[in-house]
Amino acid sequence: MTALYILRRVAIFLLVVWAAATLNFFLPRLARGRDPVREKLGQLAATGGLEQSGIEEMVRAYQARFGLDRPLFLQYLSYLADMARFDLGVSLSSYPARVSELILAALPWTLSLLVVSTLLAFAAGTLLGAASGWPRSPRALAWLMAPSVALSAVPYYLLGLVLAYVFGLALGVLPVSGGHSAGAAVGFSLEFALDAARHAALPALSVVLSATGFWAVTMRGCVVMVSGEPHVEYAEALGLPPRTIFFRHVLRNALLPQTTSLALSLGQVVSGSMVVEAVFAYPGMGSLLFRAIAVSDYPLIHGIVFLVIVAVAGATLVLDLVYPLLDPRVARERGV
Amino acid sequence: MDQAGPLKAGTRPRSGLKKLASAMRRRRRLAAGLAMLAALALFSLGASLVAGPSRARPLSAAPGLAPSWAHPLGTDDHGRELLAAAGAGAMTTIGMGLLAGAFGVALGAAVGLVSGYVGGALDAAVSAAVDTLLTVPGLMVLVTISSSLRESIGPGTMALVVASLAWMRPARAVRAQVLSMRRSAYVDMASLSGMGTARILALEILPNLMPYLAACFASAVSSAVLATIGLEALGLGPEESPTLGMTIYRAVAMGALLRGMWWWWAPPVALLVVLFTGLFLVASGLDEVANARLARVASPPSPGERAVWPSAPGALLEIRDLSVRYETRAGRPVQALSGLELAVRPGERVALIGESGSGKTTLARAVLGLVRGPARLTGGAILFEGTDLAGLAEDAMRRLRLASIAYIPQDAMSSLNPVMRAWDQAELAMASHGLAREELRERMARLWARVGLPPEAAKAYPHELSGGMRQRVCIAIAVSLRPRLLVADEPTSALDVVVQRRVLQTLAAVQRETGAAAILASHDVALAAQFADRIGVMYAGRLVELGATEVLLGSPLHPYTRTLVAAAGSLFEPHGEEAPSPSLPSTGSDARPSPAPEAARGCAFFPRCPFGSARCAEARPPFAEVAPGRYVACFAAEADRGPASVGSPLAEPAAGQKDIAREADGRTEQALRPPPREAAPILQAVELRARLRARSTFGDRSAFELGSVSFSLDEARPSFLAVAGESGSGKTTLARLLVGFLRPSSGRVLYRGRDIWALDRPSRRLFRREVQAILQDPYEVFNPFYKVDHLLLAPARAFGLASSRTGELALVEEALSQAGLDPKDTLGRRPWELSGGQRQRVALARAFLLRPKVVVADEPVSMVDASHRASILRGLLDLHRRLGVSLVYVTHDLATVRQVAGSLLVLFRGAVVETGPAAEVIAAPAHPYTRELVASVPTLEPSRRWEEAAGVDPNPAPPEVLTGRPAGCAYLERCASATERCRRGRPPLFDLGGGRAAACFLCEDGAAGPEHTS
Repeated sequence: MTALYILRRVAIFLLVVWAAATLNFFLPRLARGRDPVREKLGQLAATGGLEQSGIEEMVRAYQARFGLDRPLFLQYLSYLADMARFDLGVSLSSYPARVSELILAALPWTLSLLVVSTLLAFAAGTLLGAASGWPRSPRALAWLMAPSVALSAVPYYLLGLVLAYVFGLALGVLPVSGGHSAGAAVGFSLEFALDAARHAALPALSVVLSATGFWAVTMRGCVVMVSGEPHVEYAEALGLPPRTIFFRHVLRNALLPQTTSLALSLGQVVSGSMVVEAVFAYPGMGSLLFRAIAVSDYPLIHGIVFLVIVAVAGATLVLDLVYPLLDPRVARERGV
Repeated sequence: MDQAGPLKAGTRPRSGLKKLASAMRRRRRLAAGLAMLAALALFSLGASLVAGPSRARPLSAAPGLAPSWAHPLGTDDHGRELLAAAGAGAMTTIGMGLLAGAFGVALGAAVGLVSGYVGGALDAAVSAAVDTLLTVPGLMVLVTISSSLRESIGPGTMALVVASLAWMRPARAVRAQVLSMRRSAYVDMASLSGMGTARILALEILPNLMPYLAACFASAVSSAVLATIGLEALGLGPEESPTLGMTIYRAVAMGALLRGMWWWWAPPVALLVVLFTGLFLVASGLDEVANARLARVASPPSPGERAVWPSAPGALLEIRDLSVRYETRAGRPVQALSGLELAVRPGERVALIGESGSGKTTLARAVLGLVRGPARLTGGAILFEGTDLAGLAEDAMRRLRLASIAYIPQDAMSSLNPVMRAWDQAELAMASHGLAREELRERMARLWARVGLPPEAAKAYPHELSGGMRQRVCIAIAVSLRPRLLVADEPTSALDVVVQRRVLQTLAAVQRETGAAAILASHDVALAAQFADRIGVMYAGRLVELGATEVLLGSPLHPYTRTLVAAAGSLFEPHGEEAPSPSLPSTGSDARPSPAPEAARGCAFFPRCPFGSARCAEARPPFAEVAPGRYVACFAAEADRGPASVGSPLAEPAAGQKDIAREADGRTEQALRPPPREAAPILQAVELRARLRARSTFGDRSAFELGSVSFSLDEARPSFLAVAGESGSGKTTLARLLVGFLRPSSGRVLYRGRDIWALDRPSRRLFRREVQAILQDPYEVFNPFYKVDHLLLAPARAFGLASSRTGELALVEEALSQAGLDPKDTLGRRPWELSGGQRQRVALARAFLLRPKVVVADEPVSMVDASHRASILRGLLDLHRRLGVSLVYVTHDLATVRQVAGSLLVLFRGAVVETGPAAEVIAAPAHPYTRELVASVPTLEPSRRWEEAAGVDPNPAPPEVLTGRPAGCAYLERCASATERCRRGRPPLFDLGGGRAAACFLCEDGAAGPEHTS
């Protein structure tokens, strides 16, 4: 792997991060005007939580406090500096809680749900797709393939609703909201872990059922394509046993495009699972975002958006750096 | 090589509706998806009409009602009638999706089209940006945008917000397609026809994009709706609109889940699921249309009871009456092999000659037990040491492979696993047959050296090795377990002619040492002559002649064999004999030797045979022994044993053929001399230099430089200049420079004295008109969207050759006749219905039509079957003689050079190494490389037989890995006569007198060059 290749990839990552930050800075200001404080206070006043008089002084005080009276460009620079330190500002709705604190509290839930369900779905889907694409695999797998393909078209969110109704309410076996039972002792105990797992089951299942089908379909396509390549036939002509051919020729080579499609669809998986969290009131970033939108807590909204974009870009970068280890042909590429 | 389907003579096109119906039946996914979407659309319309929009307003009915006849879907919390809401919601959601999708595809296609076509820095920037943006989770960006907007957006605004991201995937997909189309030969042809960029985009590229655009549209609508409901689920949807997503959102927010009001949220969910599934099926169905790779073909029925065959003693391999049938997707089965009989003795070398479609590859596969899938053995036996391979269980067959019967593939690059190191693959193959680790290593190490591979190659991946080395790896693997039979399917056709010779010599040596028998399948008669003890000729799935090499080639009996032998040509004499026919054959006799349907009667060669009689049309001639060891399947040959007797047309070469060749000799070579004062050069290369890019995608893109090349083509005295070289020598780059597809890095190409890159528009048009090209791939020059006539009518129209349509058509028909094709039969056909030879004739016809002054032919016959090559070359000669066209004939095949060219220019790695009259250069080459090239061309003369020698690969590394231009002579590493001087500087072209020149220090004083090295 050439240094140039790594450098290019890291540069692209940094570019994405910068673009996300800039977007988050300018877009709201362009659309809403540059006075979120006045707006917020106006809202509060309208809903009767504040007295009408004296608003102007308050506005000015808060503006000075938040630095909103400085020229736009300076605001931008200090904003970028803050972003670099992961200082995402203060939440308007949960004032004085900092955005980063709120996100950190929600992060473990999202991460665990996401990582587990993605890994499960990718593994299951890849194996299913590989088996269904290889002509020597058992017939029964074909039966499994059809419903997976059907489910792959359904968004996680809708699947989640159906699962919630069926398992949560009609059958009543799994909880439909929250990350843990109310009043449970939070900590690293087996009891809590099991409780959390029960609560995570439905959200995870919504993602896994649909994503498995998606991976299965792509993997099957990759396997069929690779099976038709000359080196597979040559391996047969050399008298290699069928299992060796399947694992070392077909599967090994089909994993390459499959990994590429994993990298390309990370964004969609993350977005989809955040919506699922919102539906199930699972205490991850999805629900946080949902609540932030409901109360127009802009710093929190932008903070979450920024962090998610950075996280996905980072994961893509990792996959990009791993890929040349899988495909020796790419290792010598000139870095595009 | 030649790829064509059988001619569908006389079929009327089916009516449009019937075609659609059968297309739908084959594409079930697409049909199912469309049906679902249609049902959804009908439901939405119906629901809206029946229920009426007014009833979708709140409080039009009692709240919270369960479904009943009055309200089929019940009512919600606010008394909104849910059927109406579902209908209206579906319409709104679908409408938003369609709007966003249409916008996305339109913008994306435009971006992709421009970026892919223009290329260069713009394309690099755009594609980097799009690829990067695609990794960003779109929903998050949409959240930012939506939440920043002022309150209460409507569905239209929402659609536009979503559309702002929907263009990226279509842009990426379209760009990829346009990139590959851009490089295609038919776009080159369109440029040569004088079409401008806009016309090319609209007429050549866009029509082929249609299926992709349709698939993109379905995907774009799907993603747009997905994004919409995502936003709505998060609370960012259009407040007042009853879209499906908003209905669900409100239902969940109001606790419909917990309160059991399933009728509120379940119908919208169901409608959305139908929508997504339908769109998914349509998108993947359309994808199938665009790339028909995942479609499966049914296997033909099993043959049933197998006969038992007695085996003759002493034979290693006996093939008895073998037949293989192949089901094609169109439904008509094709007989790939029929009634094949062949016996191979231990240690013997047999070559099977045949063109594409003759069945030689199928036979090789059958011997290895690899006939499967759409192909099936339908009769006969393959007896290997007495055992019938056809009846063997798969596991037993697997054990025989490599250990007893070893295979050497055609293209080692694609046959070796790209992610495994060369040594590891060899080890894996040997270990699969039970060889122990240590013994395996030891044996492989010995073999590795024996086939001429350096030790470093062991750690290398296949793409890091040169073509010759990859093939040697395959040879080493093949003999590693000491098999009794080697089956090599065109093992050297992917290699350059010099490397080919070394590899074949190595193969021969190793085969002789191990005592294995060998079957070599090849299309090259001369190559087979170098290698084989016996030669079998295959045509249309049958063996038509078999015999000892010298006897068969010296006096071929079957008319097809005669054609092949004549076409093989000679390096030292202009070839005399030719398949006799005063005019070039029309479509019927030019059909490719495709396997005929099983029920066909008569000899398969009958349509092309000059000696065919009524008997040949009725009955199939048996494969009979006419002399000991000599077999022929021909009624005429049976009666006509031995060399052609007096009175047979075969005795005399076709009249005029020798004259043509003699004229080629007698022509003065104008091209390479400086033009006399009164000459009017039409095209000149003046010290041309250009950068060559290595073709490999995975190697370093280090560039060679072509140059400098200088020559002049005169209008008054046209020349036939051949440019010969191996792949990577720069000959194709030179061709592209001459027609203006590539800019030189220095030097100029002059058209009528003016630099072609400095021409004004009318002059550029003239240049296009007078300087034309014939490209290598006869298939790719045709735009798959159009019929064959497009290739001819497009330039006729663009150059305004006639004042009316009928005039154009008349000119086109005349040109086709001149090229030897029947206009009535050719014009209405699709490109895949013609054979390679016919397609190249259409390209010739195009040249006849435009009457240029110069034609640059880039390997015009390398992808045409041997039996048609002669007539295509004759066509080129016709152009030259009758129309006074100067030809620049770029090729790697010196044998064809001798047959047509007057002058020759030899390139090696971008450098001009020798020039001069073609006959003289070939007869007595001055430069060491030319000598090696001439020695490596396989011909039929017995005096030029190669010896078996397991030498070292002359190309130690793929040309793309060698960086830049080493100082000194380009040929330094391979030259046996190199001196210190050769190392220090690069030799210029020394004049040797008589119009000859060579770039070698050893020729400096006009001497004939270094001693002959072999």
